[in-house]
Amino acid sequence: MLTRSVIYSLLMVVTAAPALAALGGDVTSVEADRVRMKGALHTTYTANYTVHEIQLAKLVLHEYVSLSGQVFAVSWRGDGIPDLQQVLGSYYAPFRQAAAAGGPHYNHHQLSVNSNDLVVVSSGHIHGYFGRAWVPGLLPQAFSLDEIN
Amino acid sequence: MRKYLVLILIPALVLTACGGGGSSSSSGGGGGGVTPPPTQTITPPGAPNVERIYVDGFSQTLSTPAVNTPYVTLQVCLPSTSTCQTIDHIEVDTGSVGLRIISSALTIALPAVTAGGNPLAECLQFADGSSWGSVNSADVTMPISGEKAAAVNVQVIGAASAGTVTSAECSGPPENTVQTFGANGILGIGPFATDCDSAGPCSPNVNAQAANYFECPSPSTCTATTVTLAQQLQNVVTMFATDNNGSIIELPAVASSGAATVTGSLVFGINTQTDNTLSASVTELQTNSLSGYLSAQLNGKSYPDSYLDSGSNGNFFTDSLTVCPGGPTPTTGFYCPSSTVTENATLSSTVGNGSLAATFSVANADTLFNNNPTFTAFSNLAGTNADPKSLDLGLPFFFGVNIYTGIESNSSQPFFAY
Repeated sequence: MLTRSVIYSLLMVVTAAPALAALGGDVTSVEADRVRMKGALHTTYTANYTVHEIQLAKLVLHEYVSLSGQVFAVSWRGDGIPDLQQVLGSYYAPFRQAAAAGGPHYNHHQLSVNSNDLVVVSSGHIHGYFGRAWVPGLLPQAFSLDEIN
Repeated sequence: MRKYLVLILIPALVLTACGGGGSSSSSGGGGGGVTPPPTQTITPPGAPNVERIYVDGFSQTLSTPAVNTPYVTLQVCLPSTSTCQTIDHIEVDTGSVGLRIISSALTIALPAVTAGGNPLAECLQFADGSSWGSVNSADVTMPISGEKAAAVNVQVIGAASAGTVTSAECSGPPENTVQTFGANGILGIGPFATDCDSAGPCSPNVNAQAANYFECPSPSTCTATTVTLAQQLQNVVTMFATDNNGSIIELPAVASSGAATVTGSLVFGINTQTDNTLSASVTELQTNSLSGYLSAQLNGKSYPDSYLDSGSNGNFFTDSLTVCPGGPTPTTGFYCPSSTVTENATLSSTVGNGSLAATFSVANADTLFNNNPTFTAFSNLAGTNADPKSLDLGLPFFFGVNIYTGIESNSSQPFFAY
């Protein structure tokens, strides 16, 4: 398993950008997220995956793309929450269904939705939010969830 | 799912109900909860600045009781009139800002707040879902203390006048009804002055912030818009004539097995009355002025994104403790250790020098719920935090400790204190 320090040693930062896609999507499909969010894009490369970072004024979005070009995880950290329909893509409807299946949820500051093919966790208070989502079946081998940050 | 085997539990329920009732100087129920300060004084509700706060699960209405959720009752009026309505079970949340009322709980027609001649609507994204509704104006009175705020911008969640929102405008699981929200409304009294940008206008930066405003020429044609500072939802506390710089939540300690209900006080103002002094025994922890975060240390790990939050129903942090088994149930994400664990954290200011010990217990959540299915208050409920960098000290931490929330202003940083 890669440690964070090893990953950092492998990182190579570029400012030009390949395209982005939502969770489960194909990296070559569209630049939809970056264009929609009007954010600056940085891409970092590790041995097993690529991280596309969209920097907005008050939020950072990460999209984790496998070597085969599929987005297997996303995360956000900042003032608020991104458009989840945009960043979860085809997993947005299953997310809503899984959240609803869990029954009413009265804690408005923590959420954990687990289904067989999707995990979404989200937390935060005013002006400070973090969340991440991943598709367990798409994770690269030897991938640690700690790497979704 | 939790079951409700009510009858056999009535004796225990009576013994542990109402741990304070607003009486002064509660010594608390002890047990495995937070370690209370040596002398917690709970000021009884009354004029000029103390409201009654209650934790009762809203059980008479909700299909599943909302555990560890504090509520107040307040009155809203058409501005500058005596046409008023009293609404109970408004959640008290130091983790958000602004008054939001579920439309079905509102029987008077509050006037719209407009922008460019069109009614305003708002999407507020909470961590677990989003609420969509119109923005309306109301005079707000806290009925026991008598504190009043005129012409408050209120979000009326689920209001028909705001139309049906699209996912693109307001993404996330919808929380637009009493049953899905868990309250008749929410009173956000966090450490910020408004719900979007207290420094100025709130731009429709759709993907960057939790609060987004819309102009609605008709309910079906809402478009994102920039609103002025005055058009944002305000922190209602800041609009009181006095006692407007913060608040104190005063809840008695809760026994290790929990309590059926708990009653305490919500004190308005800090250092404005004899009952809200920031005494030498209270330590102020200034938060990051943008994020409201404190930093925490626990078991050798740093949690730079930490906060105190009455709207969180547990203490949430990511640790190696055993998570409760089972599928999507109310206990998903709660911890179920085989025996109760004591956690000794340290909370620190991110901008000043202050730090405070934060000690709390983690009991087996399934055991707590199963042993006393009708209980709605637990001091030792904890769970996983989505953010591995965050210690979210929720309502369990408030039991037995008076928690101050200081609101940002031109002369003051946001802070928490106890």
